Amino acid sequence: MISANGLIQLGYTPEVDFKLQDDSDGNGVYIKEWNSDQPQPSVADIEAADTIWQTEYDSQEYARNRKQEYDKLNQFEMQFDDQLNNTTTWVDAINAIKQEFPK
Amino acid sequence: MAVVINGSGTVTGISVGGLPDGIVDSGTLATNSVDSAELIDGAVDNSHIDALAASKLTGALPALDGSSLTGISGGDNTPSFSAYKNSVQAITTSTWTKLEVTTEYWDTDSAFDSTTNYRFTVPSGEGGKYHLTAGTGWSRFDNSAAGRYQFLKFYKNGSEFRGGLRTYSTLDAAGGQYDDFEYTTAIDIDLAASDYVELYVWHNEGHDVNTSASQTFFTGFKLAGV
Repeated sequence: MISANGLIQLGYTPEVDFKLQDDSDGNGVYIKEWNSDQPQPSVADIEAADTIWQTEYDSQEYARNRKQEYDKLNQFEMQFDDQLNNTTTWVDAINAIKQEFPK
Repeated sequence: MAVVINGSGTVTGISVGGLPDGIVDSGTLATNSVDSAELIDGAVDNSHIDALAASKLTGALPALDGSSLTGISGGDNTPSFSAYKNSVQAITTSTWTKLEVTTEYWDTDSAFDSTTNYRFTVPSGEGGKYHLTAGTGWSRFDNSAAGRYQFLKFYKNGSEFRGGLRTYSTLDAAGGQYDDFEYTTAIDIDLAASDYVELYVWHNEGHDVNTSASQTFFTGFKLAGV
């Protein structure tokens, strides 16, 4: 299947080198415009590249999940309070997130 | 009765019908010499009214229906349609995807296809200027990186329409993480019979993103008087 991520993995830029379209008619995504000066890759090449991209993306799921949880913390304030009160709330919270979403 | 010319310069003794047609004209009558007291009921009928100044149309006027109004152009703002989608639609990243607008509120001329092509097609004899409005929303759009955009555009006869007013909405979703977005766009557009208009969306979030349920709509009507 043709995908933008496969083409991006091959080094092409959406809306510059190519334009994809899906007319919601059951025929799926197709290349509406190919503007690169390089020859258009085959569907098989695009699919192989998409698999590589997806594998890389999946391998980073833990990092995305951790970041989402890190962003909920007021880390500077936690660190300040720990310094003031001689506590470990910040380290504990970070460790808990790392354990919840291991590599 | 004898006709008498009085010493005061007045004339008496003339009965109704006693003067031939045309004998009394505007030159014979002094200014304002004929007022309502001299006019009996029915004395002035339609055949004797040449024109009526607009300034005389005041006070309580008789009720008018459409059949009494002539010389008014512009039509009735049809064809007109309004449709929406009440479920999500997965949109592939960096891919112009037609929005499936699947449910109709109304469709005066059966011109909107809500089952196969999701488009408005101008019926025969209904070319003209149209006002179209559309909207959609995104559910949990990952805006954790700058440079991520969303577009909503009208496509005319299968091609992106750029003429007229602004044809798309875009949002540089920098900052934050996952958010929901909703927006609308509108155009005034010249359409001929058999022209068709569809909605396409695009984003570069990196993955499939669902549109928000009940946020997608497409509505429009023909402009009257232009």
